[in-house]
Amino acid sequence: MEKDELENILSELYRFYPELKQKERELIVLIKEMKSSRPDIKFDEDFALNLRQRLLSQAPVEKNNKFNFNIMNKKIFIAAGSLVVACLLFIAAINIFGPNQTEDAPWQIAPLFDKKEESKISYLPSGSFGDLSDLSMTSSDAPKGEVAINEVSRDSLQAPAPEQTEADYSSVTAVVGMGGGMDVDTRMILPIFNNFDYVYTGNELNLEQENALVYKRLKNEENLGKDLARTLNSFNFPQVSLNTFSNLKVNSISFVEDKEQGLMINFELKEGGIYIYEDWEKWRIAEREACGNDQACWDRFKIKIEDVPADSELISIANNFLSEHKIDIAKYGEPQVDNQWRRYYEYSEDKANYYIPEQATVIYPTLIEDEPARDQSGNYTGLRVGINLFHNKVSSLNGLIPYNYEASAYDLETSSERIIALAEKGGWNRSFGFYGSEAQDREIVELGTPEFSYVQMWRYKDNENIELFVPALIFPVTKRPETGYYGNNFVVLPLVKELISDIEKQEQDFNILRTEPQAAIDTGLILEKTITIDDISQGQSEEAIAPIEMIIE
Amino acid sequence: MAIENTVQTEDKLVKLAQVGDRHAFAKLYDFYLRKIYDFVFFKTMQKEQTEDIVSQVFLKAWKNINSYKQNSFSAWLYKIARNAVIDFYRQDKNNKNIDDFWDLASNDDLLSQANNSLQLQKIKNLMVDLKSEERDIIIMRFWLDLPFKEIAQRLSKNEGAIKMSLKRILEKIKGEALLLLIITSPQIENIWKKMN
Repeated sequence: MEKDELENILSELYRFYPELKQKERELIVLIKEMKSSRPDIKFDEDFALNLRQRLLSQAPVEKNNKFNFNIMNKKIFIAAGSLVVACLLFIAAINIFGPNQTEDAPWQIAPLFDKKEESKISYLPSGSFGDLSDLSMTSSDAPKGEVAINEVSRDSLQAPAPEQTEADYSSVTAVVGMGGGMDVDTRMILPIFNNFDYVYTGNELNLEQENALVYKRLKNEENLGKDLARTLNSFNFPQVSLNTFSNLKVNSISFVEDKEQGLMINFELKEGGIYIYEDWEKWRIAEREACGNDQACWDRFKIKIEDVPADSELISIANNFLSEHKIDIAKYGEPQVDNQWRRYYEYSEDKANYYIPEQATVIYPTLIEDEPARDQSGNYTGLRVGINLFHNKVSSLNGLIPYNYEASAYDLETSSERIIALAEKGGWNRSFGFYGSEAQDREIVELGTPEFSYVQMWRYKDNENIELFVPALIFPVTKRPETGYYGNNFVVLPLVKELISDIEKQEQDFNILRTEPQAAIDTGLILEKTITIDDISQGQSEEAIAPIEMIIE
Repeated sequence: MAIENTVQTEDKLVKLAQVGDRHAFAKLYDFYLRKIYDFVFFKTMQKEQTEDIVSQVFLKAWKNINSYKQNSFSAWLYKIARNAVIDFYRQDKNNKNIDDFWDLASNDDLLSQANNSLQLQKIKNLMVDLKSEERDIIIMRFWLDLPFKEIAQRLSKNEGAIKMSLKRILEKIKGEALLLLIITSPQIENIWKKMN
């Protein structure tokens, strides 16, 4: 018996039975006796394996009634909530349209986004969201026989746009006409044209986790908007009688602060989000608007690097705003200032004329499994609070959405070789092997050991935007070329097997287009010319590479 | 590497198992098998019976995973194991009050087969005076080497209650059982001789 272990037990005993200390010798013997009397265990490894097999071969567990019951509860809750909302809106409407309108009449809209309803995760059976790669198929509105590239994250006005890098701005949208009607995935990730190669230099990967949850955000029930519309229906508006329209629902409610630097608060009922913007008329800078062609005048109103407050001050401004307006941030992580622009500012040779954004952004990352979520570029994503740097005041807010998700398990890729190979191609924002310069000019960008994180992705199916958080690896760029690197700070790679396969498949599809015209024709693609980066960078006209349509963003 | 920090928590594995993920349950099985096996073995002292009971425990847990609503999966699993042991002994109508091996009057044969039969005989004299749950505390603390916190978790008690129980157990064994152990111990005899 180890001395430490014995001392441990003794100290535990003395704590409750101090007088036992007087009989320490006897106790030592007693404890040693008890320990040495431990029966020898006979354990059969075959038994363990057989039982494991038996368990794995058993039918999946029967679902209990909990799920259906919850749905019922939810409907009851929503119905009750809608009624409350309708009543509140009724009060609001009286305040707004009624005869006794006062400026500070007390009424609340908060129950619209009741906190009890906000924080909810429903766990569904494995694979409940279907094939995740299949979600990228547009079943109705995308014409077959066209491959649209670079549409990811651009298909929703509601979807917050991911961080734009300069590399993104140089991107190309190409629509490739195909005669064969080949059923090809209609959405492919933006190919980045680069002059560097990613090389993984991190630790050995140990990807043992075979599955993990994928989260899908649930939107508000339509009932809410319909109930509100039904309530408003009974009011007589001066210009039009609402009840002459049918099947009305309220999509959004907007409020405006009628004051200088007033804000516009928009409740999106369908998406379930709250968005705050500058009421631009109240934020105008009259002196700047009067500058006309006077460049020196305009320059006076440019944000200078010394005008940008320290991160701590920006976070403090954002925190105060959230606190003042009682905005619950329990489901968001530690705030971080979005300093993407500073990287490009540092690269800039003409810093005096570099355009510094007039708005700084503080991000409170959405917490998924208590970890801050990222976007597909690896940057934190969640609640974004914008601060107008002319006034050092909060001027926008978005990403404040109810925490209401469904979760379902999906198989993860466990081959580290496969993962590293895709990471070295740029992961989600891969290059497809497009090269911007000759091989000898290419630079090495080193990738470090990845972190596990949940990454927000947007998909479109059956006219609906679907917001998912998928398990992914975030590879940090640890060493970049000194000459300037405009790529992302991270390489992001989803871990879900079918998304990995999808990335590989898209690369194969693209390689067919890029390098093997005959193979493309054989598979139903009719191309007059194979597109290469040279065609684009050498400035050939659109006709020269017709029928490939190019749109430079 | 960083991903190692994301090892699925027990709670998450349980949730996955609750939606039918066999591999998640297999992970729970891998983690708990030896712990449950050892615990059951110390309560039956027979390999075959232990294997039967442990099989029942995990099959039952898998079948009823959706009924698990507690905060501690280990407590739930140990409860199934304790009940399975009791059910095993009480199959015989003559064993109405038997909770485990240590309640049996005629178990000397089994003990005599053990390598450390002498020590076990002494322990048996101690164990027989304890309640089933008190025996579990002895088993968990001295044979499974579990700290109080974990014992409390597995027995669905708070840590303070377990400590109080151990105090009572010590008071109980301080008398005859302790004396018996001390007197019959060759080391104590030597110490005793030296002291006198």
